[in-house]
Amino acid sequence: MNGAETKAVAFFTHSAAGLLLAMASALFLINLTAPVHLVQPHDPIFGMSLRSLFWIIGGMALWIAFFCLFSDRPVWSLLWIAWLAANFLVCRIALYWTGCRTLAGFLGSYPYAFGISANAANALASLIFAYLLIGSLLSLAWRVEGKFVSKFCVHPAAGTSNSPLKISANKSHARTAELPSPCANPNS
Amino acid sequence: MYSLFQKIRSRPLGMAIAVAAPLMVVLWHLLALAARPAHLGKIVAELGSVMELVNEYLNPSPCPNHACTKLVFLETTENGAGVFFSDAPGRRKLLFEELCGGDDYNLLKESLMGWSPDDAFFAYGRYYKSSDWQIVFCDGNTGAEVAVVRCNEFVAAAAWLSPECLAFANIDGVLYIMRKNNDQWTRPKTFKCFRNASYKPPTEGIVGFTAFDANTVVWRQGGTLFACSEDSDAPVKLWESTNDDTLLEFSLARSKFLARFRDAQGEYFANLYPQKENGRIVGVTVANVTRIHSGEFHFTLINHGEGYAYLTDVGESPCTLVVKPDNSHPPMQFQLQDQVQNFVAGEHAIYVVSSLHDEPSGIWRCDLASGAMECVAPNVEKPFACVRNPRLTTDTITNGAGEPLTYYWLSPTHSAAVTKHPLVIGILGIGQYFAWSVNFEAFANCGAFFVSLDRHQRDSSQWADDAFAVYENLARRPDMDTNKVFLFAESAGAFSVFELLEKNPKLWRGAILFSPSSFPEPSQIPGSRIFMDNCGDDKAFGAEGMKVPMRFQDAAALAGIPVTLIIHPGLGHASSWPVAVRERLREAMIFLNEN
Repeated sequence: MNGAETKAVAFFTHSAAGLLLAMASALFLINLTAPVHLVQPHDPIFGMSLRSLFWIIGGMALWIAFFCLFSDRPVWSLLWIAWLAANFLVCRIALYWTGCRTLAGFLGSYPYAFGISANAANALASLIFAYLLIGSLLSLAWRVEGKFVSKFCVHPAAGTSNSPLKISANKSHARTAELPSPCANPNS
Repeated sequence: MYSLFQKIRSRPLGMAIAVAAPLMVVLWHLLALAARPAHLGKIVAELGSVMELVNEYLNPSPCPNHACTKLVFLETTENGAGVFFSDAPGRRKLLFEELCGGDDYNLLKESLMGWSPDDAFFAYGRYYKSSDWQIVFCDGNTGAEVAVVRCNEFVAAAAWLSPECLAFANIDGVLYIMRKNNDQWTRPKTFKCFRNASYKPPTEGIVGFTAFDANTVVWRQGGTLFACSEDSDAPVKLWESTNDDTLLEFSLARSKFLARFRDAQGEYFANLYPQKENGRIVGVTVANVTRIHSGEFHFTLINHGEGYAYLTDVGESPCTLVVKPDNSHPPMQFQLQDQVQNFVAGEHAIYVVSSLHDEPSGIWRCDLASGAMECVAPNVEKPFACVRNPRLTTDTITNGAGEPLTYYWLSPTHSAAVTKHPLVIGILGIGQYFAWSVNFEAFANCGAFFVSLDRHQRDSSQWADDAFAVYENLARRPDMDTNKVFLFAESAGAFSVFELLEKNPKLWRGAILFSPSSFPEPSQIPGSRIFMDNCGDDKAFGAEGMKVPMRFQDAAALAGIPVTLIIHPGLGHASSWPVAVRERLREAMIFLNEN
């Protein structure tokens, strides 16, 4: 991976962490500020109250966000983000299959807490998860491609790419060029 | 742990994002809170503190003394229900408060038992400390308790036969009598005929229980007028309805009856003259038949039987009290802003629970001699600080079928800076008519027009079409925001709201439903937004209880319809427990102002 790609991936990881933290905060805030006797609909897949589901999803988003921000393993961060976004996609497909075309019906608390309509909240959620899914998959692809290039392609500073010696040198370079942690302190 | 802390410290960008993202969300939430109507909390607190003056046909209140100088009345309180005594206009004293929390808030267990003929005492029935049914005798001048007698059940109706003799009936129609001997009130004793196990009283509720003379009481059960003495072998049927001629109500003053009937030609009122044998009433003869309009009701003798008064909902105002003091004076009319079902007549005055000038319903006294109306027991003791009284307007339009439709509408009270206002079209439940209501006031105080239709003579199948006709008429107004038209319903009115949502789902911004009792298939109302407030112990849902609205909410969510559902645990249908009222109002007003 070159420097621009590394920066792009770092930007994505940070932005994803920010979005996940915002999402977790929103879900927690909805649960905490809801009227005492508000009844939330049940999640059609797991059958649990939406309130419980919000705690679970918010907790997971919080965990992944902190992992993205403070972990030394950026690949794992990307994998976690991709896993969460893929889960959302699978749930949307499952819901669509059962006849649920929009999540607006389950996001009735958003207008109460944030003054936006349920349809807007639905669109926002779809955008965020699309960004997370596409971003994480692209980043992972870059990462895999970078490794692939490092492993089998000629290093600009080395001789021919099929020299075992050069490959070894490339391997060594690839290790050092391992994606730096987005927030890694250059002095540490 | 230390290394984790070090790692977090070493990444300032991560820390910044970790702090900034939640802060931005909180900020967004605060902005949303700021966008809610100003003074929402105060408006809800003030309106939610308005209590209900009991004014039931079966449990008449207020109860004035014969001289019409003092008053006993029932009113809900913050914690239950209270029996109040008023010895002067504007003054009140709480004699007894039944603490009944939220569960059985609307199940009134107190009943007023009237004043002794000499006004020296009055009595009321109560449920004491959730264990004992009691009859309490109070001093007529001070309201102080002078005697308490245990009885075994709720007192449904009572009549004083003399200062020392009180007759009453329980909810099953069994009559009791109690006497005062040596300054002590005896335990209640059943009338002779009710001691006979073979006698089965009618199952209908007792209405109009009144003393005919010192030994006899008369009352109506269904369409039959009865009379009975303590030692009678059986109650006497004075008048029995037939399929062609039905007794609807009666009034008695000094052995003279006035009754309202319905026959094939419509309704009429007439005098009933008692027929006596051996000094006892055995029947009545009907005379002086006068035809009346449908919508004129509660004919009551006043002024010692010289005149009469009645209520009518025919005309521009929700209700009119008509008083004809005697044959020599023309009738006086009093326009009441609230629909009332009942009034109580004393010797010199008539008492009615209603409002005249956009204020919460209070007890109004109409002096028979002068015709002056005075509020003797206002509902709220202090005027509202934040709530403003909206202007009530009555209008009549003609619908597509050429029928006149009357509707009442309240203008927004806080309208200085905004040129267009949301519109809320209200459809009330069965048997509910327009009256001052905290719900309507809340809509107007949160910046919306509120419209309610007059539904007298209108079948429930016509309510939705009527509401739509009124909407079409009002939508032409320049100050009406047609992008923000909400539907509001209480109880059975929800059926009509769902009908409107089905016909024009895109037209309405949302529906606010209090205690809805039926739900449509969500796929029939696509694109709706619904706010529902239900009570947890609503008998309308049968054994399934709250699963019914929750199931509708789940089905609606799958159909993409957000349903904000509030359920107040343990409360009965459309409970008016103040705590629930405040929560209901607050959440409904927030829903009204959401984008």
